[in-house]
Amino acid sequence: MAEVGLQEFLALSVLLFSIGLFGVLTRRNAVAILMSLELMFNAVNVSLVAFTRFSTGPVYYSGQMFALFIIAVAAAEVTIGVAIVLSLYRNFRHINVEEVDLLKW
Amino acid sequence: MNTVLFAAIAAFVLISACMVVRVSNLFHAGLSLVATFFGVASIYAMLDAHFLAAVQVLIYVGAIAVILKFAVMLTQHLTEKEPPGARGRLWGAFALCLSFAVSSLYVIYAQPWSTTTAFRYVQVADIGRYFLDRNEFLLPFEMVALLLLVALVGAIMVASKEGEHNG
Repeated sequence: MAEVGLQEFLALSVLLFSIGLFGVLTRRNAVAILMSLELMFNAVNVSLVAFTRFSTGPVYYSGQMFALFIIAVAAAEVTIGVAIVLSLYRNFRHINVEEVDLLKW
Repeated sequence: MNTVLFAAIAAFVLISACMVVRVSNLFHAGLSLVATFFGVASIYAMLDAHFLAAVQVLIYVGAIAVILKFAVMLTQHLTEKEPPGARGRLWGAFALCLSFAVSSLYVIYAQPWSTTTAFRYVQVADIGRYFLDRNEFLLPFEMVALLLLVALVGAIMVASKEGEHNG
């Protein structure tokens, strides 16, 4: 059996990212869109950690550091996202993103 | 590396991710999201990133998934209704994502990666040193601290009731 290498982890990352993208494109509930976004963040982190593991360069640890920064940014993003969702829900009594069109022409 | 273990974990991650994006009950989608996070944490452990695996469980499972559950609980519609004409959009999005995945996989497998089999292990103590080293990641570290503060204040401002903060 073939050894699991960098390409397999990158393939997993791409598939996870595509699934998250599909969710972002098809979901209508704002909270479900946030969940799909978290999937995409995780996919990027998987590829960064895989690059750290298989890198030949001297600064191989950068991938893990970037992954930690991305986790922090994802935490900030989801905080703001949930705050916006709750504010939307207070004003509209629903969080269907197709019917929230205050900023539409 | 253990091929069977990797295949099992990857299948688990992908199946639970598919459930996150397709299950109509949002609470169940949130539970699948937790399962996905745990699967990704074990992928990190396979890649010798043990600290990141721990951070993944702490931050994603412990904080982000719980916040999303709160959002699910505080809003009303637990299940999504499919409006008419959703099928075509579903297939369009599926075709887009499939073409993205196929083209990316082609690039990944056509590329001659120069990889090492050397043991790459980043010690937790070294991570701390890189964060506070002026020549490494000190500036991004401080920026992230500022970002979290701004996010905290912004979340309170956005979510608080109208007129409540006029004092």
